[in-house]
Amino acid sequence: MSELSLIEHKSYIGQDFLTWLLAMSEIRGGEMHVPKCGKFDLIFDQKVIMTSAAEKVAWTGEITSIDQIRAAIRTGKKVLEAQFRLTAGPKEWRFNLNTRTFQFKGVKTPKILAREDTEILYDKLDVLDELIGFIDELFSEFVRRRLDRQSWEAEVDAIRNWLNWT
Amino acid sequence: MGFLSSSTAFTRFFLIGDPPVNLQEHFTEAVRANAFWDIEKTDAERGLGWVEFDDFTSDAFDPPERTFLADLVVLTLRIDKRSIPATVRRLYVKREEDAYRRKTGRKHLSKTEREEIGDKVEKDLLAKILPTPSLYDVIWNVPNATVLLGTTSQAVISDFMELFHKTFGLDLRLTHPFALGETFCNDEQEIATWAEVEPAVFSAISAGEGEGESHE
Repeated sequence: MSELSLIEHKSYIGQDFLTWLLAMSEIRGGEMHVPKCGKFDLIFDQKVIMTSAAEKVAWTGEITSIDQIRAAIRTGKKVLEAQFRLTAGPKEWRFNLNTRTFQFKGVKTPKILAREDTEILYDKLDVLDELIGFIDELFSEFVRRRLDRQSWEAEVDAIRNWLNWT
Repeated sequence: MGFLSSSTAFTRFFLIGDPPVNLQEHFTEAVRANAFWDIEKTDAERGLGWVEFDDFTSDAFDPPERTFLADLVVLTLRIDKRSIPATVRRLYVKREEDAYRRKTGRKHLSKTEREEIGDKVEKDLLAKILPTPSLYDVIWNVPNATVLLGTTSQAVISDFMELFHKTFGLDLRLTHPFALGETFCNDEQEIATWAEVEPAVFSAISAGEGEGESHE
């Protein structure tokens, strides 16, 4: 299977991850904790792009409230991209993450204070690496749960309950 | 889009294979050999190659230390393109076809004649249109064996992966969810389990979509 076919064939993994992330973020009140990164806040930030492959004409559109997102997932729509705000101590990142290839868009990082060109580059790369580290650690947690049938069943139950929140 | 901009977008890659120890020594000439070639004085539609990270007008990579930093390789992929607006092309093709009709006294032109006129018009117009540069920053983190490309465009990603391979003789793999998940597996058994993971069913409707997916 070519890499592009593999990406398409396994696209549900990213969709399930972002659904899990949206649910966990709200269930945990935004407070996340992963071993390598410690505590940080991750909250849904006003925009999710969803699609429904089940409809004859694929529907893709923006949804801006978490209630609407829950309603859309209940009707079988899938998350394609979501916008988040992540805060760790005094640092804040805003970004969109897509489910197909984990590309980051619209990334706004904490302010860079360095003035010399190479220092600015290294500092910018540090804050981008930090952001990637947070997301990778969350994805690693998702993978651990996904690999363990009992653990994943508990997560799915929690997400189903979350979908019925009003 | 640049990594130093206030808002950035990027695609991540894993590096496949082991690069040599001294990258600057091994790759400075290869980067220069694949530097951007300017199409301004030609009628080419597209020019593509590396330029320096902090100066998109420079393809000298001199001194190479500006490109090969302590543990990073920083480059910019520059793609210049000429494009003829469709209405402009239609207008000039019609003028040429009308002139050809008057000259030959014929009302109808053959398919070959129309194609020849179209090609000539395109070539003449391309030579008159200034190319538009697009710049995409590249950061290769050597210790992490990862590469960031400052775009999410699929077309640019393909061009970039090809040029990276041509320059460094190394392949890249997109950091998509399935590939990233494999790196978090601890052994062959987990990799096999990961490969068998099926779509989750969060709602009754998604379970009944009947898209040929198998569900747990």
